Amino acid sequence: MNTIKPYLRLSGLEPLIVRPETNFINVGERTNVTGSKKFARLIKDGLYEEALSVARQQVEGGAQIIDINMDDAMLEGKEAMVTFLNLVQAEPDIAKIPIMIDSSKFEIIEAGLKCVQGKCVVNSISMKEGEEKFIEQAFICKSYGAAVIVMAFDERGQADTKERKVEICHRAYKILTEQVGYAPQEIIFDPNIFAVATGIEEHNNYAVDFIEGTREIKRLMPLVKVSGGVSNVSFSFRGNDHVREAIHSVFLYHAIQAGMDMGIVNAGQLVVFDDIEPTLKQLCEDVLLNKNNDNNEATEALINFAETVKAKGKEIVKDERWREESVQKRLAHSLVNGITDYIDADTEEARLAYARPLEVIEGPLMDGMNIVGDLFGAGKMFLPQVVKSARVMKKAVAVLTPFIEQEKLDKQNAHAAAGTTNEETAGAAKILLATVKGDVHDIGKNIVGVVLGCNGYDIIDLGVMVSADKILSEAKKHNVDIIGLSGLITPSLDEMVHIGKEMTRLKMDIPLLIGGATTSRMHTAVKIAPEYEHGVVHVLDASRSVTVAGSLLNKENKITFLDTLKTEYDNLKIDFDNKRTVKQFLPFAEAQKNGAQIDWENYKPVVPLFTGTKIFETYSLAEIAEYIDWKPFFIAWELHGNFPQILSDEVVGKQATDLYNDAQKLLKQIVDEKWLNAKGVIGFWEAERIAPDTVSINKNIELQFLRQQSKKATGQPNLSLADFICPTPTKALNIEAPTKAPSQREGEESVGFGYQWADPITYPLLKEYALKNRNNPTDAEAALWELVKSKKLEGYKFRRQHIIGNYIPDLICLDRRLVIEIDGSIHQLPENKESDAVRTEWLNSKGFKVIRFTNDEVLGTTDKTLELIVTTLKEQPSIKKTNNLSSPIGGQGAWGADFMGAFSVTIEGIETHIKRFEENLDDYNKIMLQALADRLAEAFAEVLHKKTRTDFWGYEKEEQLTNEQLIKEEYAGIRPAPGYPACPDHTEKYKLFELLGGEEATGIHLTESLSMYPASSVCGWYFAHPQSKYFGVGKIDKDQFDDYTARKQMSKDEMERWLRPIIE
Amino acid sequence: MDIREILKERILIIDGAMGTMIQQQKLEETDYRGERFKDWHTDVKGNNDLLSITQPDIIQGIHELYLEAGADIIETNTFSSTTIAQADYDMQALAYELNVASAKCARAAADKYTAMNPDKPRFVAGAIGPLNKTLSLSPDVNNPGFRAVTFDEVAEAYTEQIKGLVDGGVNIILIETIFDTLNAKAAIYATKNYFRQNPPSGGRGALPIMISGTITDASGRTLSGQTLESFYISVMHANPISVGLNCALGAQEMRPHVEELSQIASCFTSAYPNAGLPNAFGEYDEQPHETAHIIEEWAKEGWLNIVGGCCGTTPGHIKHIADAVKNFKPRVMPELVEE
Repeated sequence: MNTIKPYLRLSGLEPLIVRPETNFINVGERTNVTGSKKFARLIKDGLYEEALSVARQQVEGGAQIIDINMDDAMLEGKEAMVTFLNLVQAEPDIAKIPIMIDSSKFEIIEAGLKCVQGKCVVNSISMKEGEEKFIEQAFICKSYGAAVIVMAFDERGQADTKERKVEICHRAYKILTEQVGYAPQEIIFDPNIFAVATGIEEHNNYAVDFIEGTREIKRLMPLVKVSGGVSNVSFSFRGNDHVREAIHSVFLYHAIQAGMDMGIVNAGQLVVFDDIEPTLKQLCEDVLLNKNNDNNEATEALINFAETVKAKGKEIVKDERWREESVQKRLAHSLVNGITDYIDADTEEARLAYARPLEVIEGPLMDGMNIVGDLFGAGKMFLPQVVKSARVMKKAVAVLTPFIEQEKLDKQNAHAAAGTTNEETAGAAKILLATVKGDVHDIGKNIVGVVLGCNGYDIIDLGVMVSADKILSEAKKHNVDIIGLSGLITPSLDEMVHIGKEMTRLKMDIPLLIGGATTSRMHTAVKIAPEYEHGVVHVLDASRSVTVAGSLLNKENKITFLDTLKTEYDNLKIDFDNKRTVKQFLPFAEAQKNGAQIDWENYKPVVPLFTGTKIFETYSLAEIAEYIDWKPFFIAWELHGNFPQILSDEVVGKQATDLYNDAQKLLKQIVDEKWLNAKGVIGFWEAERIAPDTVSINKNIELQFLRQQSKKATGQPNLSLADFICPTPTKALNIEAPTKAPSQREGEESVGFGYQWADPITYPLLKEYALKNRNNPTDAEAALWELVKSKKLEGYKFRRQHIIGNYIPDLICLDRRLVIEIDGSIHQLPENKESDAVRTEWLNSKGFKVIRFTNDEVLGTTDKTLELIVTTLKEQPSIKKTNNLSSPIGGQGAWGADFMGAFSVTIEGIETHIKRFEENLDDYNKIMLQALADRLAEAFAEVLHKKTRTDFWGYEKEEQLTNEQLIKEEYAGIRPAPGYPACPDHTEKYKLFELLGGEEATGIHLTESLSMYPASSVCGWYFAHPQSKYFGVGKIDKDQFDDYTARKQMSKDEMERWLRPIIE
Repeated sequence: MDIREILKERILIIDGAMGTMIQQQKLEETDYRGERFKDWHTDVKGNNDLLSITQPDIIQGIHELYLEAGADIIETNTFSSTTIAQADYDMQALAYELNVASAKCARAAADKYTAMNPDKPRFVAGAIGPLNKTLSLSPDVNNPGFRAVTFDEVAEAYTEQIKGLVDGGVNIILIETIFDTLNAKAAIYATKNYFRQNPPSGGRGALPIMISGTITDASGRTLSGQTLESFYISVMHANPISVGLNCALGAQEMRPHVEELSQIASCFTSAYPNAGLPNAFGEYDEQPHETAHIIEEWAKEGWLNIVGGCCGTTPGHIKHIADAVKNFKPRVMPELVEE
């Protein structure tokens, strides 16, 4: 039967369940004005946006609960709490974890509880003002559903001894459970952590009191939780982080064993318990456990030690010492710390010490790499460090290789001499890696190669754009144990499926690993795994590759591992199939009608500075470098977090900073020494939306777009990029176009902008009325028309019943912007019953003058009427003469005369440098260079987009955005790339390249999968309309697929291959 | 008889949509106004809750159709009977009265059917809706910290509603269609405080609470962004007799969430889905036997204690559902174990 256990359950947007195996709950503490000066300053200055980033950083740094405190004499605490909490609720990446509302003022706590939907923790209440108040506050907390932290504090004061702590907590427990009705697991005690080693003897037992008090509390009341603020304990060693970190680690080690469940800890201020120098560890234990401490002896000893650390400076002390260790330890140290300075000499020393050179690899070097592997596996080392370790390893192996080769040769010769054959012993497991055909991206694959190499596997890396045939024949040739495939662009997914099929056909039986940005567990489970039965495993990132490879190569584990995985993938597939039926599509025609609502009537397209293309042969790398978005750079190295916060992150901050410094150094070299060249092209053309999802460029090339087709909430559009281009009126609603514009039907000459002035939405309806009116004129209309038609009236050209916007004036002179109305006629649609005043106002707003005559004036005082018309015409400026051809509706360009742009950029010249790093066995800098080139290409695209907005196209001349705002895409207009979510069809890239002058323009080559080479290249379309935005097309239904295939004039099979990710 | 005891014995049936049934009556502005509000200064057509005052026979009649179809629990016609929601019609002053009137309509119908068959006692659940203003979401995209209403205002509005429902004689407080958990927390807060300050006479305890949240789409989250488990954890302190899901989804889409809930809930569980997803015209097409067939599967799995229907369901749906689940045992409540 289903059972439910009495765990503490908290929630933000996601649940947090404190199970016995949860170990220690980390409470983020930086969003506390009393603890963080930075946060306090941000709140005081009202910089809530930045204050949110402090919270976000906590979450990204691994906080499982976030403590928020606004207790500051200079603040309106209640208001600050409410404002901040309301903002936090709007940030799902923060609001996902539970909130601890922290204040010494209960009114602030209650105000906070009124803002948070999740189950919170109140920090804190106590009996210091007596039982009655305690009970009242507890009831209030309970009515909001919050768990409570109870401080060990009563009328007599804060509990310091173990006995007092236990006594107060037990009393509070009874009250809460018996009178208030609290569940035991929702009570969290804070039995007070006080500073030790203060020199005052009474304080010496404080840590013991806490630890032992905790143990007793948990024995008496097993379901409650215990929490505390750890940094208090080392308060006497302020300013000496080295010692403080050690004290915290030793304290937690003992307190957690005694039952402490959670605490406010600065994770950056912790060292691994095992890593503390033995002397220091011993001293800390003595002080904390109050051992050997008569007359403050232990305290004195620790203080003395602290002085020496302070005086010497800990870095230097450490640096000197390890060189005195044994050669094995020195090798391990170099490997773990990524130091290459001594590796050649140390390796040589080891070679002389061992009988055979291979033993150095199998012995001390592998031992060192195992430490690296373990630390990485345990999350104590991070990817950049591991890659540095690998560099050290490769260098060491390089020293040994000639000797190993010589030994082999000697053996062979000996065998040959003796007439025996050479039987090499089986070496390490072999793993073949390749980026699949058509794809050129290999940073991730290189990292996986390095990490697996570090873990002792023999890596065969076939590089990029490798055909299935080559991958499989090489795999057989080398008799590899695992094949790993990588890919970044969507067509690579199909290639992977294809390779799976081929492996089945060729009756292979080795496991297949799938990785890369475009791959997913779901795709692997649904599409690849069913094609090959001997193990297809999706590997999320490099760090997972080690465990996966380990499980697959261990004969015993392999079967269970693959069985478990198969069940998991089968379930995923079932889920997927089930979900599929739930997917609701609109009929394509309806989706087309539900496009973005854009008020074209009031939109004036901006004319770009030029049309055609402009090439940038060598753009300044220094300028580009300023626009680099560093976050993806860190992600490439599997360090997740926002930049620059990541540099000061509690967990990965140091590694991130090291990496960043190395990157900056290399970047400077790239720029100063011109290693790379930035080349790009941009172009702008006249564009016209000639069908719901088709945009015609220069009336020549037709771009086809895909449209969101899933059922949307009311009021939400089904977007297509085509929506952002001004439509050709008659086709806007997919309504059959009239064979001729109404004015032409009358046999009049066209001035080039005739019916474009009509509102495209109502035009098809209005034109019926216009024609009817024209064929049934009133007497007055007919008479006046006779007098003005065919330029009879002083050469002025008049039209009758000509549609302007939603209106049909009786007579109009477009050149002079004059409308003549004869009262008594039918002006407009019956349902358009606006008064004449409204219509006149609208026409005026579009620059028209309106004069009205009665039937009598036209028929009776005809001369006077004509005179008035002529006078008015003369007063009105000619739009032809002023060369102001803007239509009254659309402004410059008018209906159908919009613009679109495109760009492609690349970073050339990486190959020679990569080769050099490879020759130097320097994977670290090789990957660094690749990652930087990618960032530069993206940054180049950003620079050109910015210049496009402010200068070349110039639709946002006044734009002032920071780099951060650019990264957040706060600019107007967009630059979506073919093959990406807003326009997922890669094949439109052909048109983009054609428009931009082909491959010659930038030298970017398109592979058969439409991946761009050099890999550090970016391309995309430019849209300028302020309402244009990024979106994902998502899945499309068969009717759209058929329609699109027809528009693209491609075969269904081929189209299906390109659109597979978005078709059901 | 205590509903908790009955819930252990069989799956109880909660009624279907009130709005759908009222729509079928094709009432006009004058019908809504009745005699009493014939000169009211705003249009009131669409204020369905008002019909409990102006057309009580129609409302009681709908309740009786559901009772006839087999409903054990009927919901009062009070989805929008709060000062906040009634402000749309400038009828905030009537909030209390609306609740009393609606509770009485339902009470009369339920008592009539209980009297006819005392072995099947019928219960009235006072329905507390989600409000047209939310506490966790800003209506202003440019100002995410803004709130259109405060917790205290919401709690006050709900307190008045609860008072009306209790005075009108409901058996259960049903906080339903929760898409913002903080609104629900305000309702729970109001309920708890109301009963603390107004302990029911005759030694009876506070009325039991039923909670029913709404998963708005395939993401499996509430509109305010919580996962189902988070939502449940956030309302556990209500100590409800049941927790469940209703509205937004049809039975088919609701299935995985019902399954999850049955695993994690330490109280009884309920589910009353819409009659499928609305078609392009906003109408519900799913036929009674279709809905019932899916719910039957849930009952077979032993996931539920209370089932019924929401938007688009009719007495026909309820009858089919009742028939479909009658032979299945209710979900057994998970055992609470100490470590």
